[in-house]
Amino acid sequence: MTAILKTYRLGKTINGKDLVSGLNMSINKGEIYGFLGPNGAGKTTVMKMITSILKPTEGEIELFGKPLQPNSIELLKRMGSIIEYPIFYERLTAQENMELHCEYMGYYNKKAINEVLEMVQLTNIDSKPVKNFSLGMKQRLGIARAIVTKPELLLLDEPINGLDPVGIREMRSLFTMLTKQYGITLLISSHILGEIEHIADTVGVINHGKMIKEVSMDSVRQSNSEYVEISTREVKKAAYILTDRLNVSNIKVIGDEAIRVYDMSIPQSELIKTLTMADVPVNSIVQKQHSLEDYFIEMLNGGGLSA
Amino acid sequence: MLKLIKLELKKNKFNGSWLGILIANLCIMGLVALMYFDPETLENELVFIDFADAFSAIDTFVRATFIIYASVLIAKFVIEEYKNKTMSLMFSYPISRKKLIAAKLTIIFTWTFLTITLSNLVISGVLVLVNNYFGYIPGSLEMDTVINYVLKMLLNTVSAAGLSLIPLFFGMWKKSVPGTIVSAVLIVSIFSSSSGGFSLYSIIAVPIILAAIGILVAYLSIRNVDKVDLI
Repeated sequence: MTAILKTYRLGKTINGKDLVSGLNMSINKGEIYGFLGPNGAGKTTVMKMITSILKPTEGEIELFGKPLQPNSIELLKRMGSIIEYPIFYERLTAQENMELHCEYMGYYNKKAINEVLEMVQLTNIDSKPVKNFSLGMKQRLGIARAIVTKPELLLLDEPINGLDPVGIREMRSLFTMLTKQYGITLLISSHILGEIEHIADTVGVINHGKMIKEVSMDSVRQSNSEYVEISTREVKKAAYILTDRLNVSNIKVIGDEAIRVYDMSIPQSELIKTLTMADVPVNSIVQKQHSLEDYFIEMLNGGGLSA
Repeated sequence: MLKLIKLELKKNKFNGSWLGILIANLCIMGLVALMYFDPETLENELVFIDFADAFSAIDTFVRATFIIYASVLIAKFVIEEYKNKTMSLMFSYPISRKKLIAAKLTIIFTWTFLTITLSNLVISGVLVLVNNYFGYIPGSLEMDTVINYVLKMLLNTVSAAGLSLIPLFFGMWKKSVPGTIVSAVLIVSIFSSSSGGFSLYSIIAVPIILAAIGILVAYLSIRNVDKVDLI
């Protein structure tokens, strides 16, 4: 797999504040890269640097195998983006906005405009100026504009903001379609985990301007994805019994009332039997999936402590 | 570059502001008419000693008006794009930022030059026509006067078109529309006001230097645009 975008110790300082520092990331061709982080983590700043709206104060960005420099405008031709919120010429209609975009991008395929407007389900807009659009409609138009030229790399900053649940689902399938059919590489940032979880191939987690972890979703799914949660008042005793009698090593005590057993080879009946025989009251026992959300919050907390 | 200019015009739905130009011209004609038909001065002394004097008065009015008008265009084409953040869209296109700004400034420079020249010719023409009937202005219109006037006006107009870019500097400072327009009004009131027939503009070096400053401001606003952040 070849990397389409790489950053080396990327950093940005504005007015003495480090918005991003020492950030290394690597996006492979044809994948969906989920960029996760809480509000103000630096996601948008990184994306702005990739589109060269902001200039890095340290480090380097490599796009399509070439270093990004102030005058490398040709690279911009191969990218599409929505940064922060979609910006349009509000007094013009959707059609006019799209036409302008194509002219400036040097892309002359008039049919493509209607095709993408249909793809994002934005029809019946006729001659309404964009200023009368709702946020959801603007978001759709923004996505349409970003993909009309079929760029190789698509940067979407919080693309599902303002969309209704149906719209979110539509966009999700649109994104997967774009990578599958057109081989477009996507960088999608979000603070909503569930969204990324479903579509991303790789996830980069960022907080306080630093990359905390970059992992492939496959490995996240494999590692400790399932566990059994036992709730009991005597967690310490239970933990001791489980390790001592059943030889379970992979357990975790959560607060005062719960224990998680990650070793799925032991049947639940065995767990209950052993605990009950040792006089540990078991209130409930549930099998659970470790969601990306837990994983993400763990990472953020870990990152917060070490930072 | 020509294509960029066309796209700019299309984007801003700019049709040349013909209505604005017409209204401005009518207002200037009204002002000149007020001076021309002033009953008090008609008896005592003449407002316009000769045609050259009348023409230079018209030129001053026209220049002042359209330099301020140009600042409105600067606000529309440049400052508002920064304020509405559409500039970040423009800068994400595979087009040199310098060319993008240069296209905008070319429109403003050319527009200012053309409107000042045309308005001067139209209003002076009307004055000559009206004077045929009333004949308040002594002497006849010599070919020399006309040629002299046209040459002087062209020089003044080039200088005014350059000068009209100076407000860009003040506007870009804080990306402020009022800043752009107020600075234009100030510049005009300093350099175009005359007392007793003397204005700063009549010293030949002044318009040339101002035009140079205007073009320098335009250059400076373009020079670093590739390297700076767009916030």
